Parts: sequence; C-alpha cells; structure tokens
Amino acid sequence: MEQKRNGLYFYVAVIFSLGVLAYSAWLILGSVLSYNEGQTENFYYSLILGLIGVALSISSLTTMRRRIQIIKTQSLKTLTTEICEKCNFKRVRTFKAGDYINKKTEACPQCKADLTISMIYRESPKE
Amino acid sequence: MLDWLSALGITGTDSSGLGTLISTLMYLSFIFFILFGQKIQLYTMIWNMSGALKKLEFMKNDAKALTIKTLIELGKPKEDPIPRISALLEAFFITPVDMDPAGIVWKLDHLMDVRDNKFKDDVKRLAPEADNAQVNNLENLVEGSLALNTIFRIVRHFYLLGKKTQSFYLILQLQMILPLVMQEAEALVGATKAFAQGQPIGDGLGPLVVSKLMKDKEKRKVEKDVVVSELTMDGRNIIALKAEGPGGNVGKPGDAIKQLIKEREGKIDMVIMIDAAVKFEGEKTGGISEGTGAAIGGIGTERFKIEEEASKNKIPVYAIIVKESLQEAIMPMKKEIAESADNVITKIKGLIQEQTKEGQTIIVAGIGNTIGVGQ
Repeated sequence: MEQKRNGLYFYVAVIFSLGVLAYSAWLILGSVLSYNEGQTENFYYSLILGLIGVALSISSLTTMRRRIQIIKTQSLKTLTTEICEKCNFKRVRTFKAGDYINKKTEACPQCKADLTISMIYRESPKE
Repeated sequence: MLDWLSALGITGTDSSGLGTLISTLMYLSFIFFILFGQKIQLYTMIWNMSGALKKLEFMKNDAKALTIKTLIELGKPKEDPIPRISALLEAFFITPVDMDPAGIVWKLDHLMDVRDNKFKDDVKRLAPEADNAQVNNLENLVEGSLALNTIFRIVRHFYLLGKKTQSFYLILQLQMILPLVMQEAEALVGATKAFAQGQPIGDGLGPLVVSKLMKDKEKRKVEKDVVVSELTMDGRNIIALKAEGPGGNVGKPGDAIKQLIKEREGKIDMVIMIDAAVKFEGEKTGGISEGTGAAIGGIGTERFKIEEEASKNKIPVYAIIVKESLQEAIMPMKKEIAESADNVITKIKGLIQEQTKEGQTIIVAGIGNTIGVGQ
C-alpha cells in the first residue's frame, strides 16, 4: 500500500515537473516574441520567469532520476547457482535464507546425484 | 506587477528606468552577499545536513528493527531483547595507550579478543536457540547496526555543535566528507540485509577461493575459527586455510599461519594470501592483481603476526588481490567478484609453478569474512 502511494506520488511529481518545464519553455518563447514586438518589460518578465522555471524543473527531474537509479540498485535480487558435478546440470534461482556455497541441496532432476551450491551473487543492474 | 512598475516610472517606453532598477538591484545584492554570503552558505549547508541526518536516522532505525526481527526469528529469546540490543548498539572499545608502543600489538590483540568474546556471549544470550553459524551471522548483524548507530551519533554531534556555535568551518568539514559518509552508511544498510540472511559479501572472496580448493578434502580446525585442508597441486603440497563458515566469521588467520609454520618447524616454502582489496575509482570490479606482502586488513594485529613469523623463518609472502570498492566489500557479493574466484586459482597455479619446486609446501590463506561460504 505504502509502495503504491510512493509510486503515485512519484508519477505526479514527474508529470508536474514536465508541466512546469513545458510552461517555462512557452514563457521563454513568448519573451522572444515580446522582444521582437519591442515590449521590453514583457521580455524581461517572461524570460526571468521562464529561466527560473526551467532550472527548477530540470533540478527536480535530475533528483527524480537519481532516485530511480537508487531504487533500481536496491531492488536487485541475489541469485543462487546450483550445479550437479556428475552431469553438469546447472540451475539458477533466487537466494533463500539458509543457502551457502558448497551446501548440498537436493537431488539433481537429471541424474539424481546431489546438487551443490556453487555460487551466490547479487545480479548486476541493467545498463 | 507591470502596472505597479509603470506607476513608479521604471517600465513602459522609458527603458532607462528599468536599467536603473536592475543596476540598483545588482548593487544591493552585491552588498547583501558581501555581508550575509557566508551565513547563507552556512544555513544552506545546515539544511542539507539536516536532510542527510534524517536519512541516517532512518537507516539506523531500519537496521535496528531488522536486527531485532532477525534475533527474535532465529534466537527465540525468552525475554524482551530490545533493551539489551539498545545497550549493545552503544558499546565502545578503548584502544591501548600508545605512548610507549613496544608490545602494543599483543595488548591490542588481547583487548580485541576480550571484545569479540564478550560480543559473541551477549549475542548468544540474546539468541539462545540459534546455532553457531546463526550466532556468527547475528553477531555481524549487530556489528553492522552498531556501525550505523555510531555514524549517526557522530554526524549528529557535529551537526548540532556546528548549529549551536554557528561555526562555518565546523559545518564545512562535515559537509565535505558527507557524501563519503552517506555512501558508507548505504553500504552498511546493504550489509545488514546480507548478514540477516547469511548471504556472501564481497569481502568473502578469499574464503570462496579457498573453499573451492578444499572442496571434498579432509578438514581440521586449527586456531580460533580457522579450518585447514591439505591437498596437492602440480606436485606441490598445499595447506589451504580459511575462516570456518558458513557463519559470518573472519577467524584469526595470523595465529593459524603461525601455528602451521611451527607445526612444520618452519619448513614452509611460500605463503600466498588471497584477499579482496580496495580498488581505485575507474578500475574494474573483479580485476586481479599480484604482489608481495601480507594481504590482510583489519587493525593490523594479524598482519603483524604473519610478517613476524614469515621474516623469522625467511618465508616469502605473496598476495593475490581482487579489486572491489569499500562498499562492494561489505555488500552482497557481485557476480564479477564471484566469477573471479576461478581466475584467482589459475593465478595461484602460475605463481607456485614459477616460484616453487615440486614437493615443496605452500600455505594458501583465504582472508575475509566467510559469511555464506561453507568449506
């Protein structure tokens, strides 16, 4: 429930930042048009507001991107590799408490010899 | 706004009015920043640090909650463990006085033994139903929580002190190291999760390599929590040793190597130490380097014992290290590190072929925390 609420907050924040960015771009465009029409005060007013808006929205989106990267790293799974030394059968599954390297787990589904845990590792983040 | 500015006569067709306003604002902001610039910077830093402190507090509470949950699950204590855990998280260690450094290693070694034994006994009392491996994992878990608690207390101390004294330089020093402190704290959070579940961590590379060597061989226990196996490799006698797993344990490899050298009356031809070592930024995780000397971290007592015994008996000491960051060393083992174990064995073979003759005896020591690595 908490996770869902956080996810919703995240999407709302991204949409809001993108909205601010779009409005700021529109203000900057408006300031250029004002300059061409000789309306100096409108030009300065829109340009300053537009630049502040662009800076704030880019800063907010960058923070959000960093948070996504942190969440991605935290959600990486730890995997356990089991092998059968007799028939070279190999199986990779999610780590469960009690697993350790060199532990004999269960019978090999192919030759019924013991499966041994050969490797436990954290999966790498996708590039 | 524009109407108001027009009324003041600084907008509209008269652009010189606007110029006057802008230049006045520039002068005012210049004077303002000269007078209050450092104060603004101080408050910005204090504000940033208050955010970091909240994050640290959250991490420390999270780690404590995980410790309590795991202790209750594995140890099934009869009494409420929270007051005892809270006391353990405030535990401290006083290092021996170093005004006269002669003999300090043995004093430090003794005090560390006392601390470790007391810590283990406390954890055993808190978790009466846990087996030996689980007690070791729980001990590591409590140590991780203790480290997070200590980081939080130190950062909070300097934050509050800086805020109270309004000392720019006090806050600045903390601000400068804060990114590194936060990185360390985040890694410790990862480590506590690994300890709670008994997952191998990056530092377990040494024991992982040796566990591959001693697989299916006869094992015996030597000095405190160290297991030894004897095997042959390319006609050489190998004595492989690692801390006893799969519980979280580093053992005392210094004492074990000393004992093995004494058992063979100094007739050891080479010592090879395998360890995970800190890489420089930009270097690849899992890269392997060879060198000479005792590759072992910690406070230095174990390294001292190995160096002393090796130099007394003129035994060459070689080191093979696998590169990883400080954070990777205490977090669950990455695939690149796990996969480098087979390459390390190839390096060991190369080293013994180059440096020893058939029939000679070599000690191969896997250094590091053996959590999640059996033998």
